[in-house]
Amino acid sequence: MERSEVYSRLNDLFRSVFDNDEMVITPELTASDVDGWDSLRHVRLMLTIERAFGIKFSAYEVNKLRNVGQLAKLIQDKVGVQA
Amino acid sequence: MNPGFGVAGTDLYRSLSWLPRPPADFVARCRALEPNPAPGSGLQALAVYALDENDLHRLSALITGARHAGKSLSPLVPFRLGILSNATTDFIVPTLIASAARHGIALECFTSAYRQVAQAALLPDSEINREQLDAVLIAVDYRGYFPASTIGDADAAKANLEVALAQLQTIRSAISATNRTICIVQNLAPPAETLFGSLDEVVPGTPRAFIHELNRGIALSVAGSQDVLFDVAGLAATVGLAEWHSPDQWNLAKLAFSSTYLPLYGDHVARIIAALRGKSRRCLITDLDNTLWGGVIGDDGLEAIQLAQGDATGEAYLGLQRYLLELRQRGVVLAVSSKNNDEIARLPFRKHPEMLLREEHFAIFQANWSDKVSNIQAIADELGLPVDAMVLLDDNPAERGLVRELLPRVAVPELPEDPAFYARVLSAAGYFEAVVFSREDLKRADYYQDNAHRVTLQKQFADIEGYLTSLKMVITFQPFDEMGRARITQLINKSNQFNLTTKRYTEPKVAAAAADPDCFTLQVRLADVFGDNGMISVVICRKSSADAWEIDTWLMSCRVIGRRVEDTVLQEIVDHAKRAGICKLIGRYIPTERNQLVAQHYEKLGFQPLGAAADGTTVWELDVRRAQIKSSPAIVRRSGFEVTEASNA
Repeated sequence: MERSEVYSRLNDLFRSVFDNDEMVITPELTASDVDGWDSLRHVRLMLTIERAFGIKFSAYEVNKLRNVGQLAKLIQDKVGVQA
Repeated sequence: MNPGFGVAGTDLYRSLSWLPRPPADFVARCRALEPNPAPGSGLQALAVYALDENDLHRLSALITGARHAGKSLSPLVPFRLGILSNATTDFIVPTLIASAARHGIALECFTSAYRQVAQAALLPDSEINREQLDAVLIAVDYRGYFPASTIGDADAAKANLEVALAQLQTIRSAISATNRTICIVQNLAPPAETLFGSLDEVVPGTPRAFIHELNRGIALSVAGSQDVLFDVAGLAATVGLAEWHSPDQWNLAKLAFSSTYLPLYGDHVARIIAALRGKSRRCLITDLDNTLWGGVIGDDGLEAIQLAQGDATGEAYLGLQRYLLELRQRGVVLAVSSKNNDEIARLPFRKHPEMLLREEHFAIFQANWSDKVSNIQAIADELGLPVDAMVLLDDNPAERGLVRELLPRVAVPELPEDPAFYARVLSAAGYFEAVVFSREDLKRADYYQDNAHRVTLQKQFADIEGYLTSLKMVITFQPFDEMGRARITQLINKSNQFNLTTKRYTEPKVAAAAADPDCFTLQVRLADVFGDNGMISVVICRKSSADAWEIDTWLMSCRVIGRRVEDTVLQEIVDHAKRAGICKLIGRYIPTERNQLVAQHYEKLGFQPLGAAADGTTVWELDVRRAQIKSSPAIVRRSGFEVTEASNA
């Protein structure tokens, strides 16, 4: 899957989870930049991404993520492997 | 017709496939509701879709926001639910609030701190006990019960079981005493992992054996008490234990079950709450053709409808009939609403040897050609039940759409293509959830019984025009051609009800009509927002004098009756007639046993009577230059005519 496609789909999922139609994600974005990105929202975000892309994250992978760029890279790797 | 419908495996339960998909503008509609001072009905209307976890969160925030703003949520009925759990409740609360709105409930939730089940129940001033609650949900899963291992020790296992049941009973009694309220008690979904394998069921004290016994004990303790059971074990078994339990999500956030099933869980709790508030459905109204049997009784006849043992399709319909009979036995009232002639519609119930359902099983039997909305309203009025006690089972998506649009409080499940799944979908939708079962229930269906009588329609619904427009119908006209010939011939030889002359032609005759310069032919296709209905009408006009066409054949599929297709077809005939220098159209109605439906067809379309014969045949005439035809709610397309015209849309 192309990087741009991952970002486009990911952006839709962020908008859905954060209920914010104007939200635009960037690789540098972190949880502290976003209002309401608490631990519960984070879990919901991860589970939503897993369902939408048909992939699974391990707890280790989730804990290691530092920003949206790393998240997108992880998705791209997993989708690529499964394709 | 409905590619999004998943019934294979767990799709049905994961996606709540009996509910319609949310509209594309769901988010916009949520936003539009925000400033509404009385959002109750609007919230319920948004809740009836198959919402995923994030949609449910959005809707729940809307409901909670409206409550905090002091707005009335009426007609939603308030319900205050306490939740005791050994897992995270943060995910289930929004799910429950939004799902409850689907069932007409304005739910407010009060939770205990994580894992503080006993404390919350037993301390009089705990959060749970301080509130005036309508019920407390005890949502403790197997991790909250698990005692010391007693594998192989039957006595120790029994003692463990008694302790676990006694603890649960203490909690329930405390809630009853302090809060004066009832409990909704969850039983336990066993973990997917076994120790031995099959032997787990045999050896006392294994997790499987323990949970098995415990669930039995919970069920027995609930029976006869004021509390009610939520059979989570049954739900988890239905979707599969390995699907239900998600060890990674437990580790990540202490989710007691996979978040994939939050919408399903929420709907199930909401059903129980709705049942406690007397809001369960009471009456199932079923369509007939392609719902209770395969095929169209009026066209195919008694011998040709699919309803036989030994035939996979026939058995699928019998499976649904068996399920409806069982529902009736437990107290669900059955009624029929079908676009049919009454006599013909009753034929399978009286004469078909394989029918399981008989006329005496139905409280009301409405077979006529009026719209379903008026008929459902009449059935509700006659039974003295509100329309929100009704469920409509119908294979036709346009009928389902019409009823949802004009009678939004009637539950109308989506149905898959394959009738083998009808009973499962109906059951999965849980419309008839009950919290008690009494001897009276066994007689309830009989109480409403009046030998399958019909009720007179008091009023016709006026808003149908608007609905027809929303269907975005596209009617395509073509003259007969080689591609359509087989289907044209099939319709000519099969259609009985909407068929003015019932003339039967072989394929060579159909080809001859197409080639005959004195014949004008039409094959008509209809598509709408629900999909392509295929060829639905056939017309043959023959030149009977220098300036007249006689309509030799005019037939239409009963599936599209009530959608004003006949007006559009007449307009098309008239347009072509004018162009061919024809001044008069002659229509003929030749009565048969099955086509009373169209006895007034030409009269309704504005034809003048020319005469009647002894056999009941009537002849009609229309002056094409003076014809006044109602404008069509459909977009018209044409192809294959010598002069190709642009669409009149």
